Amino acid sequence: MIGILLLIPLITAVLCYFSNNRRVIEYINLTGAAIIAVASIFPISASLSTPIFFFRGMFFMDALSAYILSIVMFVSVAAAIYSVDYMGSEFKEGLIGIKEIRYFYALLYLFIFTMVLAVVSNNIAIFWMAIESTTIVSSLLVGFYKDRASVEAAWKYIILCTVSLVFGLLGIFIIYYASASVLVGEGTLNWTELREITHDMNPKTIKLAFLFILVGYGAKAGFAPIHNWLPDAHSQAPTPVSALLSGVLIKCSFFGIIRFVILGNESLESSYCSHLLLIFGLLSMGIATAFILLQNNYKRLLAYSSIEHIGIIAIGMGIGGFWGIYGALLHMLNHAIVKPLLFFTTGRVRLKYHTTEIGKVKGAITVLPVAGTVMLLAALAIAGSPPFNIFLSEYTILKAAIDGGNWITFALFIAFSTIIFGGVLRHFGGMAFGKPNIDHEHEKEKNGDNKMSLIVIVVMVAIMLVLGLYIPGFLNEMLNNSVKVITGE
Amino acid sequence: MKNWIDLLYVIDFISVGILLSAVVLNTLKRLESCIKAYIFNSWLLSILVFFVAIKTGNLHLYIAAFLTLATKGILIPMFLSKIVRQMKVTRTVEPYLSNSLSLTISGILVTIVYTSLREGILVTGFSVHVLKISIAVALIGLFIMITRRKAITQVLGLLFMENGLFLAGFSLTFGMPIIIELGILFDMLMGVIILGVFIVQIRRNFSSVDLDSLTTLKG
Repeated sequence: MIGILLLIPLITAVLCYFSNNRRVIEYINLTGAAIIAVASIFPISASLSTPIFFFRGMFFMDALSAYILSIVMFVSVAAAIYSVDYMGSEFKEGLIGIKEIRYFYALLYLFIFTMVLAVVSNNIAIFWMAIESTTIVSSLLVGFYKDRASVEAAWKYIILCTVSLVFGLLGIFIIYYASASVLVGEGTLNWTELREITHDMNPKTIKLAFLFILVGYGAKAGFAPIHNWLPDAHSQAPTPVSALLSGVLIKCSFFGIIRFVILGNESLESSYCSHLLLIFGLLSMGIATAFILLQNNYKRLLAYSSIEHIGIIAIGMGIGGFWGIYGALLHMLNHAIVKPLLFFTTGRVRLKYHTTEIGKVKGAITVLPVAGTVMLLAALAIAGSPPFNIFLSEYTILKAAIDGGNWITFALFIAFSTIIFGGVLRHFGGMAFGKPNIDHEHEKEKNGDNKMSLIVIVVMVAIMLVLGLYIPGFLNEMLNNSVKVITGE
Repeated sequence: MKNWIDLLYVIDFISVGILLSAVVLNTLKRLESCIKAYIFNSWLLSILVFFVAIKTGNLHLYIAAFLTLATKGILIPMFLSKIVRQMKVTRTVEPYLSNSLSLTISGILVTIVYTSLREGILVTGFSVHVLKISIAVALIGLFIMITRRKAITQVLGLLFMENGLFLAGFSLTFGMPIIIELGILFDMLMGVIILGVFIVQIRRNFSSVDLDSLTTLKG
């Protein structure tokens, strides 16, 4: 099952690369997305209760990876469908040619492949390779337009992430060394086997390894102060790719950190990992707060908001306990719905206004009735106002902070999120309301072209609203099982 | 029978060579000579793996030595020199710091590594010096990345860092399983190729390969 799941995106990528007609490529893209979505249901539902293994235990899925995989699948399929309209309209405007379209879809599916590979790998070195491959593939997507800004963003992205991932590799070497000294002779790199032997390992070695891993994957996850690549990359990439980068890639990397937190908690006193996560989380939130307030580019604002939310997820994991972890995992899903939604709607704004400056966009609701309204709703959600889903998960994390008596975390969290609330709403309110500053009347008839992206946006809004009010039974069960994987009960 | 490797301190000598080839990078003025230093470094690295393979008689270490030589010793340097030739720009390195200052800082880095790793769990493996040297090489690579202006020297710094950490991992674990080793080398190779592609694009967009000109994105 896992093998098929890995094969489909690869085949789709190859097919897209060797087609020469835009229509054909778009149909391949849509069929590929549909098949991936259907094919992922079986392994996800199979692995919820008992882990499944594949290829000599190198790949495996338990409840936690099933949960992350469903997030990856959801956003990937949404981004693939949205790409049809977005790249289509850039093609019609003559910004890109058929060669770039082929190239884009092939890279998009390679990117999805590397993320799926990361999520289903049991071998920690294969996970590392998959994350490094996501850097390589997505840096090509970040530099897609080949102009000054995007090449600069791609360069910073690949250099910073590769350097920190090299440090992460050292962490993996150290873990391998520790496992070899426990098992006497050949060590192991399989996470499931490591988990059984970690409590015999030397705690000092594990501490050192965890530090390297945290720095390595933390840069990719967007932790401050090693976040500098993130706003550049997210703002320069084509919109569907920004949605993938911010919606799932940083969570895939954080997923790697979670795997090592589980290992760390087996052998160390549990405060070690959680203190580190709390520090990085609060720092990320604080730095993001400052930059969100001063921002004048809405794509960069969304990128900084991603740093804030990865910080919130880290805080949830750091607080720990059932509700802390539950809230962090739920927040991963909620952020993966709302942030792509914001990227999708602002992508439509960008196609209309041809600018990414906040001050130059006025009256988006009048010009784009659906996308503008949804943008405002999603901005409310991302700022954390009730009754949206982000509020629910942030509330859960805060409740866990109070239960655990983490008053400093609680106070800082409240302070940062209040300031961010004001900042985000001021910027997006200014964009949504007011008198439109572009002539939009004669362009109205073209709106029929963008049916697909509208469908994606409407479906995602519906999910966002539902999740704000209640959590369906199957999702609750998935979350409970994933929390059990992390706490080891 | 294989005692001569221990008796003649072959492994220690080679690892000192690796350290020196990293230190010498601080003084080199031309990009071509920097690439030569990298070639020297990688060849020494694979020779070291080869000697350890003889010492332990482990088949997969022979393969690892060969793979290191093929990718790091031959393929990557060839690709880098091709890019340098393509650039046709001033081939000097233009560091931010003077040679003597950066040499001094490299020396200080080596001292720091030697004093801080004097004891503790990490002094293991086949030689007490290899781990310290490898960490020092990685730090010098990082230092080169920070203080050089040209895009290609950043790539070289990254490669030195990677060599150093590869050596560190090797001294800890006698190499990873061969399939993992292969995957990591492949990833590294792809990474260098993509970086090369971006160097060409930076040259085209900014009409220089100075990283100082990458200042469009801020805030």
